[in-house]
Amino acid sequence: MPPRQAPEREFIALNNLKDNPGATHSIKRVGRGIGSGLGKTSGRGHKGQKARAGRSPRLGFEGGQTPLRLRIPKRGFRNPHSRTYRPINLDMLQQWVDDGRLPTDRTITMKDLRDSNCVGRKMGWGVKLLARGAQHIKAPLHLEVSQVSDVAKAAIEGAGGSVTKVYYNKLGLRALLKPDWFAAKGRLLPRSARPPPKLERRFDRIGALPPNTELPQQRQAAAGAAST
Amino acid sequence: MQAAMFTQKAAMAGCAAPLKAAASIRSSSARPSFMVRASSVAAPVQLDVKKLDGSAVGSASLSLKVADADTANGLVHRYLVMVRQNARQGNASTLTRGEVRGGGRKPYKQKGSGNARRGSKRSPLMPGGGISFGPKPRDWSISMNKKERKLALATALQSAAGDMIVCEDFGALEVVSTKGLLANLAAMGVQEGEKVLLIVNETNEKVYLSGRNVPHMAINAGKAVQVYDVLNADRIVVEQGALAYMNEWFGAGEQ
Repeated sequence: MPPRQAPEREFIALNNLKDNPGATHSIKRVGRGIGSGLGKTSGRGHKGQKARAGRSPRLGFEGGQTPLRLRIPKRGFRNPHSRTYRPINLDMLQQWVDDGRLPTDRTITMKDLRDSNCVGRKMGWGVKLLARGAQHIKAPLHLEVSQVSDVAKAAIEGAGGSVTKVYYNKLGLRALLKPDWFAAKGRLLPRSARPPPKLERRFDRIGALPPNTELPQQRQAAAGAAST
Repeated sequence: MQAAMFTQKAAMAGCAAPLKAAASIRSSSARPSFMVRASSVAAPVQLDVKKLDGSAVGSASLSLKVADADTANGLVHRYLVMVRQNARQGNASTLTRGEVRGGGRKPYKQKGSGNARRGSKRSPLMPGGGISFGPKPRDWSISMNKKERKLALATALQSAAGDMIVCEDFGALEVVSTKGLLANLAAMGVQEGEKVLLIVNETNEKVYLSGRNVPHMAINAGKAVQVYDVLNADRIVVEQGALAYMNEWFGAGEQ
């Protein structure tokens, strides 16, 4: 779409002030004469239950016919162990990095994403990285998130970055995002929980509390120095 | 009134912090922009500086951070509506049928009188009765974001820049005299019959006493400029100190 032409400025005076188009709309006023189109019966037709004041059948009632919600069969069950992750796409991530709201000199953790308002408060079990806008990723970014889609991971690693899938349980996620809550109650940060054995292969590492925000190459160098 | 048509330069140089590359957000068409700043610093408008006797002293400029052209009018409109609405006292009051004195007894029996049935002599159908949905004392005030309000006032001032004359110093007025003040204004370029707004640097007793009886003259202090007076005036005479304050407060700041 071609860029919109900015309208030329006009001299603002008391006799040409008006609201932006779409800012106001006039409400429907019923029962005010023939010309309005909503006079007399006021859009209700003639007689019957629906025409009466204060009376109409309850929602979903179909006059006695078996309603839709009873005609359709029930299906499935609700899994209490299911985990939902908050999605975040690469275009938004890159926008935040461009605006300087996310750090590039260290690993970006889910705490950074929350604090910069890249994701909202309701995170479920963590953050999943998805790949809309993958073509915008150019520079290396190092992230620690709960899950990542294959396309997103390929895009980040193609630019020289890295994505690590870290596991936090609900308590651990709270300790990651709000460490001050524990301090205010006089509690220590909890130890990081291991994932359930069934889910071990979905994660690369257990999330650390407080998070370790070194870059992967720094961490490797430190590990190499420690082992020698 | 002169139309101050000025082209808008997207000069972010004055007000952009180094990290916020607004130009890159707008120019990349495929990426959604999450940070929209519908404002930019306007191109400076040159104004003549004059002494009270009308002699030219130099020139000054006005360059404020104003709203984008497509929303500027709507923004100033909203701000003016808010200012005027907030000034309402909201004292209009009427009585409902319950509040009008009398009307507790049923005037005549329900059936048999031949007239329409009535329960009270003060119903809204009757003369002397209550009012159905009449006004009651209410608060008309509405609020608007502080930054929006500031931007709206700046937009109105910049739009009126074509009508501005800068006065070097109103303090030079020695005598309280309406005639004298009007003569000075005429010398500075205010035509007869024009509505004029004086923006003084700080509350000036002499100017106020000289000017308060002049119809269609408003006097504002530099730190409390009223948007209605700005839009209503045909000419605005700004004291140089007040102009400097405007450029600083409304202009391209560190933000």
